[in-house]
Amino acid sequence: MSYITIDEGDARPIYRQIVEEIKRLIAGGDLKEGAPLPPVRQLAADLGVNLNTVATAYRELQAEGLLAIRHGAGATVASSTANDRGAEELRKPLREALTGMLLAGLRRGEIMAIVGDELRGLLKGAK
Amino acid sequence: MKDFQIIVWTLLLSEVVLLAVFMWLPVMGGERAFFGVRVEPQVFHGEGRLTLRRYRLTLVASFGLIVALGFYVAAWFGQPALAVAATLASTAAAFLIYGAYARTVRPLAVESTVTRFASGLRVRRLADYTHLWLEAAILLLVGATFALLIQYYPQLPERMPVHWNASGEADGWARKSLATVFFLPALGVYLHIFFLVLKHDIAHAKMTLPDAHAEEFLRGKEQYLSANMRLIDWARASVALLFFNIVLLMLVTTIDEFGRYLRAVNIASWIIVAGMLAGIFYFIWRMKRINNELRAATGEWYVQRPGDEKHWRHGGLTYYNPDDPSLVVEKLVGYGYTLNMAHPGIWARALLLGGVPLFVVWAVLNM
Repeated sequence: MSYITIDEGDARPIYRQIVEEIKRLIAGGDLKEGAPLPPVRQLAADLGVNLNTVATAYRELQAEGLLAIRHGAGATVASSTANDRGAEELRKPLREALTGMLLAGLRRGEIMAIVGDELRGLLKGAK
Repeated sequence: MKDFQIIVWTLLLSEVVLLAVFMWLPVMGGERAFFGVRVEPQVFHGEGRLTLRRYRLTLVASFGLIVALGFYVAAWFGQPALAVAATLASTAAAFLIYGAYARTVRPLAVESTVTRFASGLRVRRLADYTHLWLEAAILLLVGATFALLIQYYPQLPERMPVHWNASGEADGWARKSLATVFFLPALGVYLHIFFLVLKHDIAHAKMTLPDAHAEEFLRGKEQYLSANMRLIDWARASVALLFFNIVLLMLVTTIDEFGRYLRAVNIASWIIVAGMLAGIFYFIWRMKRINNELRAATGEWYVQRPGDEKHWRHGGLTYYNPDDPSLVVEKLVGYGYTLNMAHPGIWARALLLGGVPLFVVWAVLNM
């Protein structure tokens, strides 16, 4: 069983957190193609957030091709790969994160360990 | 006279149960819901004890006074209705006292520190809590109830019993008509529709999981939900049996050839009522145990967003939160679920709960 987590103390808006959490589960293989997601109303109720917050998150995932939303049938995972994005676009957030770690004074070996840990964590549910 | 005694004893018994529930209400959820608000443990065990003692004294004194006076007057005039009035008055007084003390405790409230919440992305539907064999059995019983009445309608006398005393003898009468004969089974059908709407709503109840114990909470709260669903199913089966039995009672008290079954049918109605109550108590006890196990495993049994906490009113008995998209939430005080009174769906439920019976009464009176 896999969970998405929302942190009220986090600076990111709630809808972004939902998008990123669902992406994490799709990327890690916890949510496979065709897996149903709860209706907007139910997820909003469980997390105690506004309906629009969840709807916005679902729409964004739909726009990226990860979610199929059919009226009445609810949302399902459409694909386990997001729409094609250029290699440069994919590298950019990684470069930003690595810059942050270097500025924080981490050494090369430590950074490699962190990257490896995170990747293993993501892929844990993939099999 | 015998009936008067039975009514008075039943009322007295329910008064005792009511008093016990109200004595327990403020501390049901420990320091997490002391009069419906979260307080510090030292407050709960310190000045909270004093408040609780004062509350209980006030409660017992008012209860004793109203009940003693009401039942004495009722016995004096030989009017059980006065005892019923005293019971209602003591219930109202209990709510008022509870509400007044809840207001004094409110300033002591502290906010929950849980800010990370999880969702298992599990889809819950009414169908997950529906057993086909049970639905078939209920449908069969309801069908049999109507079939019996249609079959024997011509044989029913012009003067119809509509109420029976504790020993199964008819003591209330009405002129035979489609309305008087079919009123009870129609009421049964209405109750079944009401229960199904209730089940549908509860299936979609809010399930808040703390990120720290998401897995234990999901398991616990799903068990809790299914215990509540089985409670409703138990009530539905009992209601179907009860209304079938009432129709049998109608037939054995009016049609001579069935007269010899009176005793059996009467015993059956007591068994059904006892079974219904026993089942309801059992499932409430189950729900209490599930929450206790959850608390033992995680230290908590109820989590909610800090923003939602302050929307509980009347000492945690009612919930009014326009920002919460859920219609059904778990009770903060007590066991089971309650409605978010600020949800727009509340109007349709109020109409179903109050409007339909009012319409039926109006229709019967104007027939």
